[in-house]
Amino acid sequence: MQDLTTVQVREYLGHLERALRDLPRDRRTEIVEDIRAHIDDALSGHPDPSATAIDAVLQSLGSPEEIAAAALAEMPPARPQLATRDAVAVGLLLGGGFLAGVGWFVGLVLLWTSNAWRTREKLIGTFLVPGGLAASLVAGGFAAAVSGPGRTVCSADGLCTASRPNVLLRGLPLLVIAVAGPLFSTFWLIRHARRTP
Amino acid sequence: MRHMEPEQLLTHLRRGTLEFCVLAALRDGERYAGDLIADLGADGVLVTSEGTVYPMLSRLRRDGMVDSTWRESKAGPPRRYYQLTSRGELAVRSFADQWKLFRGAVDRVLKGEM
Repeated sequence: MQDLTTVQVREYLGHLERALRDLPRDRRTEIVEDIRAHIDDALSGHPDPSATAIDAVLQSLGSPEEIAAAALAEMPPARPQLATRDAVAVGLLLGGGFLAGVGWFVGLVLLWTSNAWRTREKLIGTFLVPGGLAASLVAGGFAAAVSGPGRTVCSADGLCTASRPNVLLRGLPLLVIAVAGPLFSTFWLIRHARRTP
Repeated sequence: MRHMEPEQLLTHLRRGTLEFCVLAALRDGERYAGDLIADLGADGVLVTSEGTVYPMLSRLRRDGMVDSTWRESKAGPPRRYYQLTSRGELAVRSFADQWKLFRGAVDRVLKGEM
């Protein structure tokens, strides 16, 4: 009969653990341990408790679902958070251009179908910068590359080669602007997103 | 408010009051959780499922309303005993005052004296 005690109780406690899975681990453990101690104490008077006796103790405790509901009711209210789909939208608008260009468009759709932003915010997210970081880096790099006249360098024996201006040097300020746009836009969207509690 | 079954009504009413009843039950000194819960639930009104009080006790502990100590027990496994803190004492006193007011007001309305 000792086996029966353990099986019945273990099943109940296992059920309880599963019912409490949405709780943080420390709280879950605490409650399960308290219930386990309660059962142990309640059954300690009987050297060989019958299935009925065990059942009575478990019944008086209530169902794991009821206990889980009580535990959830004791949790502090959740702080409003940025919805996952909105976080994804912001991420894709920033870096989705690197995903074969398609990612940015997915982000765009998520942006416009979301109710976390007003139209003004959505316009900023769209036009600063279209294509996100990928597009602005390409545009910045392109602008740096084609700007400025090339130099012709001739060596002593008459071999002349045309060289383009130092891309990096010329491109650095452009790069900063290129990166600043999408980053600002990202920051702006996160700052102004309506959060769900 | 849509129609509620008696049990639902009771659940609704316990919210906000049960925790103070738990604290009040500790006014006379520390008690073993199991005994405290059994007493509160004796008439089946304040507590029906004993297990549901444990999360509340944990939260009261976290909020500094009660302290708990594990004590060895001759008759069996170690037991957790709960004591009221001064913060908890204040909370019960405040509740007792408000409850008197509240109960009086509700009774008057139900008796038609308002």
